Amino acid sequence: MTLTHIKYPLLICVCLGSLLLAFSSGQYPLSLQQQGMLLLHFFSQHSNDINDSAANVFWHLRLPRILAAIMIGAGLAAAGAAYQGMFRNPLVSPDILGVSAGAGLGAVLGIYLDQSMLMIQLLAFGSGMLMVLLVCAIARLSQQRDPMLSLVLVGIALAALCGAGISLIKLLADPYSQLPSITFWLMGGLSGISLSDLQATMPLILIGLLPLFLLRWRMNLLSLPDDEAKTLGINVRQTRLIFIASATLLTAAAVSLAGIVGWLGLVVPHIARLMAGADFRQLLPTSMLTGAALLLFTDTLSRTLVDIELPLGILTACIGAPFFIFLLIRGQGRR
Amino acid sequence: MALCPEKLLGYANQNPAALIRAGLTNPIFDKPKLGRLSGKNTLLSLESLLQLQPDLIVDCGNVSNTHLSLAHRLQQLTGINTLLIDGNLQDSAAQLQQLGQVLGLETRANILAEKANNILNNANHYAATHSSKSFYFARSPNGQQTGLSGSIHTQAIEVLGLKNVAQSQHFYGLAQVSMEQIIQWDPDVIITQEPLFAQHIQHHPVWRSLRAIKTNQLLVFSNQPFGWLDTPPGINRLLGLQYLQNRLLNISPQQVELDVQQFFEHFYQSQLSLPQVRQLLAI
Repeated sequence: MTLTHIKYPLLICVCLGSLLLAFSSGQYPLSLQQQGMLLLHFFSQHSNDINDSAANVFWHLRLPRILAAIMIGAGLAAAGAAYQGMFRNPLVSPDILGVSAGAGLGAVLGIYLDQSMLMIQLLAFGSGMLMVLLVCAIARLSQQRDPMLSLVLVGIALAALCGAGISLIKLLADPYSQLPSITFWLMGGLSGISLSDLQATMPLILIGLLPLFLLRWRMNLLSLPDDEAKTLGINVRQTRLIFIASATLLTAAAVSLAGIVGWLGLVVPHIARLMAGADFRQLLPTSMLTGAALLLFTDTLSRTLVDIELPLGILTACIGAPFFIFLLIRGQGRR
Repeated sequence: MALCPEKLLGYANQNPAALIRAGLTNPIFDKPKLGRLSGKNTLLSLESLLQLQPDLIVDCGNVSNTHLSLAHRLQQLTGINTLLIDGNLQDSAAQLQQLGQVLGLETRANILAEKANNILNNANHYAATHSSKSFYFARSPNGQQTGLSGSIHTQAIEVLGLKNVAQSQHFYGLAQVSMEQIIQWDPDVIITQEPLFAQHIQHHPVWRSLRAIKTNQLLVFSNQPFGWLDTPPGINRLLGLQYLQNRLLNISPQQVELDVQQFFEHFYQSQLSLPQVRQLLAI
């Protein structure tokens, strides 16, 4: 029996393992049994006792954070897999079209203008989406014959401009209060996510995931050269637009909530490909489960490893980069 | 700025209009914002600096090898004497006197040094005679950024003997902490100078469930004209330190207002009206 055959049972076990670990760890001592009681209590009779700190920790802190990690992990991994499929390139990550750079610029501007957390999230989301729209619009004007290549090139150029914008705001920001906030935001993290944040973001992520999931068979056709795909009867342009829009929505929603979480969208599809092969119908759900489990595990580390919060971006890079190198070396050996 | 604003050519980070609005009413504070001068991250070009023809560059803050070498290099490049002063809060009086000597302003420096020493001695006395409460210093709009114990960000509060709950063996300076950790620390007092945070917790069930908030122990400080406790870590912290001590001792509002007025008069040579003081305190 190969890895491919047992992938779903294995993945579900890994996900459940991360979930149990996430629920049972934290700075506030809260046993799984207590949490089970809280859940039971919720389903038997709805009572919102604000004074009980155990209930508060469970309902307002741990549960939203765990749900956010699952959602964002699955979302970023799905977006990564979709982008890699579309661009037929394994080095592509969800920020290839400038979503993260755009969202980063929006958030940093929000912090610079002393906006509230909600406004900062909205600005991040809005400018992330706007950036990809701009990239697509400019790429259409370009003289390049390969539409995907011009998308990537315009994406790189605009991301560089956003980077310059972020640096400029960093230079102008108050070095004592705004600059640390900007730095923390750019390093990513799930601390301070509330249920209302989730209520706003979860629908966006689901809306992004749905078309990817329903049309995942078409992705296999998109990875063929355009002419061949066309002869098979699919509208390449339209399908590509749907995939770009969905993957962008996913990434922008994830980044607006968690800040910049690098590496996940790049590495997870590679891990998933080891298990599921290149068939996107299998690759997408495998990526989503792997992404959810990995981000959940990383976030558990980020909040429990030391007495303060370690930024998520640092941990995902520390776990993702060595793993990526390992995959590269292993891949070469096989050949 | 406190010792001889008339000799200051301009501000590094502050917006002059905002300073004047916030109570630095004396016309000597109306000067341009020049931009900061720190290593590679410099807004004021060295050529513009030379054009301004200052006799002395003063930097008050951390004294580390990096800062020392930067000061050396600045002096070499511009030929302007550069003075680096250790910004430790407990040494406020010495800083004023040292600068006074260099600038030939010993009389005013000594007066200010005495005022600074009074505030610090009172604080040290308070620390020695009162049981120490524990505190959490909330920065950033969501309050989860904090200054760790021993950092310059919480020095002004720690001088009063209050115990910072955010202690870390491995980290120093600013950190992001989790809400679970704050519940676990369960501080007696929560202190902030971030107005957005004070608004944020009004609608936040977890913050509202903390003992400090339930017992009305959220102390909100003004961040005008400078942060009263932090940002920047300078003489401005003496004002916050004094105000915090008054709050902890439940001193009468009249005395509190008078102390603020006198601080502005001594250190910023500006007369604040009572409504202006109340506006600063009502944050």
